[in-house]
Amino acid sequence: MNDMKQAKQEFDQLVEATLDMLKRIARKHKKSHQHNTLQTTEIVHETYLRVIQKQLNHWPDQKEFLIHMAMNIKQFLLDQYRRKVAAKRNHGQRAESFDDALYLAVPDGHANWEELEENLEKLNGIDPQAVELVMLRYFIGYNLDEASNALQISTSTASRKWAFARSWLHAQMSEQPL
Amino acid sequence: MGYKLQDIFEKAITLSGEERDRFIRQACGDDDVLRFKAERLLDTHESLETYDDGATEEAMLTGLAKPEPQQPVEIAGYQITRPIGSGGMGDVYLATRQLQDVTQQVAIKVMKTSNPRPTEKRRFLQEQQFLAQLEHPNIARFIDGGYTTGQHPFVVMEYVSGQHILSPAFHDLPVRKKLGLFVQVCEAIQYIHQHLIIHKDLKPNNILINDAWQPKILDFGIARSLEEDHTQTMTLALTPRYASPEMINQEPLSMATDVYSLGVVLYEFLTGCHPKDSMPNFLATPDLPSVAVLQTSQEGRRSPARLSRHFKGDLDAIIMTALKADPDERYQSVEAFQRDIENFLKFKPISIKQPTLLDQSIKFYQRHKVATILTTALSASIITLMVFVGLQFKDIKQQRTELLNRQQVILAEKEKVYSLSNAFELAFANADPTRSGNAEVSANDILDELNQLITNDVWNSADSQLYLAMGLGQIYLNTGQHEKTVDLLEPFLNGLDDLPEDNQKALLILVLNGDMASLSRSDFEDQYKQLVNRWPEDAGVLQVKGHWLKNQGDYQAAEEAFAAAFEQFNPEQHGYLNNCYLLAGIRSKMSMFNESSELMRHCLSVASAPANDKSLAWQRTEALNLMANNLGYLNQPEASSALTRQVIEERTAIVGADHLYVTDLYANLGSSYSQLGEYDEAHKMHQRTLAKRIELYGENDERVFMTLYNMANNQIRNQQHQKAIDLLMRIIENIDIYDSKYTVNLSFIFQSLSHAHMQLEQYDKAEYFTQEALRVLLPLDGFTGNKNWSRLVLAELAILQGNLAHGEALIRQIEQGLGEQSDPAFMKDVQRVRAMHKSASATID
Repeated sequence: MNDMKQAKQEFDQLVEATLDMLKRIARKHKKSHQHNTLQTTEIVHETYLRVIQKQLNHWPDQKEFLIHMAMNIKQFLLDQYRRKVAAKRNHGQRAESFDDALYLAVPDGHANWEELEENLEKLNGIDPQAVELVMLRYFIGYNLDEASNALQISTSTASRKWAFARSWLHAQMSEQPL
Repeated sequence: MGYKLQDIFEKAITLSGEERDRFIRQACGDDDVLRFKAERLLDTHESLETYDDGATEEAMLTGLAKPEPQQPVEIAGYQITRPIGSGGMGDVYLATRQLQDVTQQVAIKVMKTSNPRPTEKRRFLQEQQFLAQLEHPNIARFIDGGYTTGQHPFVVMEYVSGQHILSPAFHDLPVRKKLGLFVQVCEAIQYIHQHLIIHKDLKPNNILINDAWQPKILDFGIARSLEEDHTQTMTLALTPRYASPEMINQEPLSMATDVYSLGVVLYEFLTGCHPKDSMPNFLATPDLPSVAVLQTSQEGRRSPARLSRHFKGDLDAIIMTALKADPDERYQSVEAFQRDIENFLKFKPISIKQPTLLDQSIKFYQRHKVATILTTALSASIITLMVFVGLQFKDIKQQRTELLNRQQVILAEKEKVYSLSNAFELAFANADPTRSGNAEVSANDILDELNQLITNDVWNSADSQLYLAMGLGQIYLNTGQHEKTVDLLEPFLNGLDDLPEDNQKALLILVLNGDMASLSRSDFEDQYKQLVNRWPEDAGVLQVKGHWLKNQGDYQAAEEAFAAAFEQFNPEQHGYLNNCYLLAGIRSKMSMFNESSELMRHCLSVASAPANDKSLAWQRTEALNLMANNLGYLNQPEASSALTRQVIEERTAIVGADHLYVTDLYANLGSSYSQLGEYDEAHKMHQRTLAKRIELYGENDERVFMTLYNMANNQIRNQQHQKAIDLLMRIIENIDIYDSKYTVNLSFIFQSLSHAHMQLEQYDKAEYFTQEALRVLLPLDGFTGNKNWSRLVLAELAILQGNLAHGEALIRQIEQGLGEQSDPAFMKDVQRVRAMHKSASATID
């Protein structure tokens, strides 16, 4: 029991440390490339995959780590999105804040993150594995092979589930949900 | 119901057309809502598939949140058919335009950015005009560019129907076919580079292969003119998976940037693996393609093991060079990259000199004749090591025998032999001409490789490293490369105090020997004093003194030093013969040929010679050779050549007939034959020496020049002046006439050339070469005799060509410069030319 508690604690620390590292990387890039949102995103992504991969190797249950990490990132982005919306309401001024860099990395416009959150929960009721897949592809940035490996499902299954999840989410989030 | 929708969807996407419709109707039955939902999901799926052109790397933040269908784009003059793709920068549409009767299909890329400043706008439009001029079969043409009504920039390009280079359709192509396609890709990029544009965003999706098996490069979306901003770094989107380190670091870009991206694509194209998967960071080195491919699974006839064997070596090297993190270490142009791929395709050597492994060196021995030749050079070096190192260290070995038990000695010896042979094999592999792209690998190249290994490699045993270094240092000394001896050994002086005393002494002596040529007298004496203080009257130390004095030309004092060293040895000792040889050698230098030979003969007769001691057997051949040379100097060519033949025989038994140290002896035989007037035989002998020297040193080497010079003089004696000229011209063609070490020799060569032309009555050429000889000599101090002789030849030539006044002036100039005590032989020559002048004048009068 104690062991599990300790493990959980360690795990949370790891997640937190990873997120911190990501923010630091993002900030560093932000500083050097003020006007380069797109590229910052890509580089953060690149670096981020490496950070995740590195941490992953230290963790016995890789799937658990990844999903947990994805959820943290999703939460983080959701918070950012809310702040962004709030900031826009404040005469469009951007708050110079601690997490400015990743704030910029949140994709603009097309997605309503609140809605996404809601729909992911609904999808979880239909096919939890599909949600895991989305989490890994969307928030960890894995490709299909990597994701199917991590979830220990076959590539063909993953490919079918991904097609479904993606289409379903898109349809759900369009002007006329299913 | 949810489950059902998912099942229907997942099954339906595996079907198409009517089959799919039938399935949906059947599965949904009466449930119209379900059917409607399924159809909508499938529609969404189709539209997403269209966008999803394999760009998985963009999945994180763009993969899901694809834009909702855009507001319809309208561009005047074009009819948009449908969207065909989307990337970080914008969306691509298939469109048509009407040109009189012809309907042309085009691709239009509309950028996401909008509201440009007027300067940007102008620049964008200028660029489009520039790009529209580019035309190459392997690039998708730019047709047009402008701004949409919504102020989004757009470009119109040739529409290419095909699949990108990493599509499954091309997975199973044979490697050579793949490389052939890739060469065409390189050509296109070269063409772009010639127009001073860097593509900057080369990735599989931008390299299509059309239905006619023709690669087409797409999307110069972020390409900008090199001319304008080659120092600027890119400011737009890129694809990190294919981006070079300098791009990711926002450092200045060059054409090497595209080389990197092409390298990544080729790596993936050939192996099916992405190099960055084996790179812990973007500056790291990926696995070799031959290693990476082993991680892939067998697909059809494409066996990973077979591919790996195919990639190993040249392809590995080519791709890894393209993928160097430092742009300066990469191929500097796509052209160079392409050339190596073509070299590989044509089974030619590639341009990269690569460190290779032991097994490759073995393969190399088997494959190449050059290797066999060099293997002899290798054994030569080992023998030399044995001989010289053996001499230096015999005493140490003896002491060790007392200190260590026999077993340990054997182990230590084994270790030495092992490290020695390993080092040589590695050195050899590295100098492999098939890898270096340079057919001429000389023994020196191999020694230098060995040097690198000794200096740079991590050594298990510091002892072996020092042992090897000292051995190589001695070889450098013996081949006159003194600076290299010093450079190699000086670092070891740092740890001098930790070494056993005998190693300290040996090391210091070697370094001092190496320094000798460059040290001033006082510096040498300072250092020498330190040696003498520590090891007074030591034979090795005395030898250093002898060598120094010999180099200074003080043969008398050198003889005394060598004699003092020699006195310390009795015939039972190992160094006896070597020290005797040094003493006899200096006596020969002093023209005491008989004394020299007598001493040598005596030493040979009393020295104990255990059977099977190769190093002693070798020393015996050196002794005999010295005696043969003495006989030559004593003008006894027959006796000399007989003894030389004995040396050849004995050396052949030790190192084989094809060894440099055997073939060099033929030059001595040649000199003897030349002395005997058997010029043709002499020529043959010299040729044997020449062939080997060229093999080992290349055409451009002073030892080769020396042999050619001797051969030419043999031909002159043989009255074959044209042949002599041909030989001498071979030197002139290869020699570096600006290298000061050749200055004096060059004047001799010019003089010989002049002489030969004169005999052929080609006076103008003779005059030219004498003038050259004089020009080379004039800046030098001394050489008065040579200078005067050249002037006299000029006078003679002037007279022969009928320019009597000029000849007269030259003769007068020579006579004025001559002192009272001039060389009588030269005075005679002057008189001869004067007489010539007189009779020529008389004839004209």
